[in-house]
Amino acid sequence: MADRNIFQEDIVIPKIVHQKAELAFSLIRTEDKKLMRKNHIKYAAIAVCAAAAITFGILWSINGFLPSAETSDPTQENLTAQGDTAAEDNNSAAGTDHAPVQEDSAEKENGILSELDRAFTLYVRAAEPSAEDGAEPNTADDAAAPKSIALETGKPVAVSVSGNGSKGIVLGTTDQGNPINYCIGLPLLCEGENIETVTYRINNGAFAIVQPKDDGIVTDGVLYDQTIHTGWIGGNYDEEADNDELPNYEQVYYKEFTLDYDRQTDEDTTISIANERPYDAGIFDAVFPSGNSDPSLALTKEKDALNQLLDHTVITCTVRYADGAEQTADILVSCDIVPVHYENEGDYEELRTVLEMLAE
Amino acid sequence: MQSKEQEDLINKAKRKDPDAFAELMQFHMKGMYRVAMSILLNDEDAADAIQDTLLACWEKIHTLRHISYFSTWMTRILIRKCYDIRRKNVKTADWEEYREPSACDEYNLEWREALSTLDEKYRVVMTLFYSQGYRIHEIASILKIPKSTVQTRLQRGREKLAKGYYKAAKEDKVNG
Repeated sequence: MADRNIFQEDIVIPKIVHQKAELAFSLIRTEDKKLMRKNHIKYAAIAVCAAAAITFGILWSINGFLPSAETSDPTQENLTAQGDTAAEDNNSAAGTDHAPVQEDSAEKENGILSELDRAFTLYVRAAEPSAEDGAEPNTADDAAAPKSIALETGKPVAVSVSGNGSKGIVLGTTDQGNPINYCIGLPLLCEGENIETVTYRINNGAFAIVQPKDDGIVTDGVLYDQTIHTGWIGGNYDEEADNDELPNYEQVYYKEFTLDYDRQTDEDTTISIANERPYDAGIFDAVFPSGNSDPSLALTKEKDALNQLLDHTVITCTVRYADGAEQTADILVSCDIVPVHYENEGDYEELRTVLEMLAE
Repeated sequence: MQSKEQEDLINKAKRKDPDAFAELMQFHMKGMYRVAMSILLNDEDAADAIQDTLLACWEKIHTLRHISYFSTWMTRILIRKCYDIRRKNVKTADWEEYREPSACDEYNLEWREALSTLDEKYRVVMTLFYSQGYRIHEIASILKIPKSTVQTRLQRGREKLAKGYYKAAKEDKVNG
């Protein structure tokens, strides 16, 4: 580098930056004052109720209806009722969508979480990066790998799922004229504080969970009540082996399933979404193209066909906190064509599953 | 490395102390401006990106698990906001066409000229490395690119800067 490093020389922050920053700070202070006023009113009401209840309890015991002078603690009941309500502030700018309202953290001492402690983020493993110098495709199979991206409202994320060489989408049918099925990998991970369980529910089709027999991570669930036959992702898929069966693994279809927060992933468990749709000639030709089809249009047709099969599939994630409160987020599943760079091979456009958190 | 004072401010900001948050972000303002300019090359857009970042950081700071990662976390948010703003603007205009004249243009002239000689991917990495003092692995984490890519871009950025900006500056000096 030259004698001096221009990047290390001092600079002047322009006035416009200071002005806009000050505007942001005053918005923050104004918002904070509003919340403090709200909380003061709320706590004043609680204090009044508490005082009234204690007075009543004392009068009750004086009148001899209670065997002892002990009174119940009404503040506990009031706070419990409050703790059961969902977060009030629904500013959906980010993946921690259900932004908390500031409250006194002393509530936590009673076992009830403050709104500050109720926030979660859903992460998904992002698709391979677009063409970059020396970029490498993401091949790790762990939803908590460094390239995980937080889902945010209105910001779709293309998913990367390895396994079966499928890039996370497995399509099948038994024959032309028979239902077309799909199995799409879902590397989701929920992160937050004071969360005990995470439950996922799907509106179309089912979750297909491939797990070791007798050692699944699902703690509770509602089985899918329709007959469905799809391919699978996971179960130590071996291209060389006969994969009509899953030795030592099972595939279970759930409409809804629950995981312990501390055991959301497992190297032997793969979670996908799956469904079977009635035969459609257009969809069939798009997902199983013949040799005569135009290759330049193939990817777009396949994308459109997959989105028809998915038909606005939405996954609802519900987290349950230690105090019993719950929060939810809806995630739309679709497909799109994304750029993928392969080292020493170049750039390609490939089909990937796309997840998008929906606004409330 | 964060000072004890910084850590105290972050902890207070996590507890939603607006004054502590403002003081904390003022400390980082210059760095944020450098990073925003390395992407947007425009004071107005950089100011918007910083404003959006301040609000986003305030909203989400309570979710920050490790305060030692505050700077990286904030920078990541800022870079995302910069890309959001750029997406909203005209995409095809090159820098000269799209850039609006700014009343602040009399400041930081040399730095702006240096930035303009580089492609964005080099500008951002050079800014994060030289101006902000991030290490290679931190930059890789912020930009979600491999470490080898960061190193390549640093090297190429240095070469381009030497050929472009520094050579021209030397010639101006000689001819001056």
